[in-house]
Amino acid sequence: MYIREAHPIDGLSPLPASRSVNDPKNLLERTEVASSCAKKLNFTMPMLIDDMKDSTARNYGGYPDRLYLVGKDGKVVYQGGPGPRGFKPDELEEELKKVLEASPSGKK
Amino acid sequence: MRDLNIRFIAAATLSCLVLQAGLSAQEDAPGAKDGEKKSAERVEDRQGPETSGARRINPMAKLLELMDPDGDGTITASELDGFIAKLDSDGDKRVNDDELRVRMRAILSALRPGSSGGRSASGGRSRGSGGRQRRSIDDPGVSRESAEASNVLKQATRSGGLPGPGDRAPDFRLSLLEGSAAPDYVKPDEKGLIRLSQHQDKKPVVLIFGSYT
Repeated sequence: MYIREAHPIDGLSPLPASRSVNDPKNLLERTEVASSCAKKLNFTMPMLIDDMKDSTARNYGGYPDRLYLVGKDGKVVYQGGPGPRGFKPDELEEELKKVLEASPSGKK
Repeated sequence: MRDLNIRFIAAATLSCLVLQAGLSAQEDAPGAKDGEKKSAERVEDRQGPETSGARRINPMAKLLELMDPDGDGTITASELDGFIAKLDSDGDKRVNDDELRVRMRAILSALRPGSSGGRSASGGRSRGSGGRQRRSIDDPGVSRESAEASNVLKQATRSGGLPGPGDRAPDFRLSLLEGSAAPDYVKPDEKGLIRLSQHQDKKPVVLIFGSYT
């Protein structure tokens, strides 16, 4: 889930320009940044792009980063803490293992 | 608790040494021999607009100041416990690497002079240390639109109404990045958009929120 930039050059807590980007102002720009992000970091997972109202980041408290696991019933199984401190992939992995063990047919 | 304190002091001292080595390369020698309070004052003295860059600050003095709230020049066991509690944001009664780093970053950015100084629209200065500056929304290099939106999101992240375990995950309908892997379990709707609600029943879904920076 690609959401609003945490440290854009024109933001409140920017990274140096050499390592950052301007905050995308429309969906096209956002898509471009998402694309270079995916390329640079060699992402292999499907990547969704949040809308410019930041609806998803808002609904999930996903900014600046966060993990969730949603069960087959559409209910949240695991809500990670707010990132970056609460961003703990190990916790997610453990929860995911539990879910998959409980219903082996649901393997990803 | 005791071994925790000792380990923590070791970690704090180490990180200060590293920071000092990196940031105070031009720190003049007598500073090291001054009492902590005096060093802290010297740091304050340097906050004037004529001082430039991060090289002439002393994070160690600031850290000691935080560890010695009554300012008597010594750190007692209870002051140290209080300090640990302050840093221990995940509440496990231990200060880990991340927590220490977060605090040191905050100290460093607070010490940096000129973080509100007028910068051109090209914004973010390179700072060598990798630390980040904090700017005001009125800074000429800051996009008001972006700043306001990020503040809204920060608030949302802190708010109480987020979906926790057992709650229905809010649906979304978003575009999939072109060229990003679209395995057969990802099924766009008639408009080519991805809905969470159309990806249930079969597999659990992991949502990873984040941005480039």
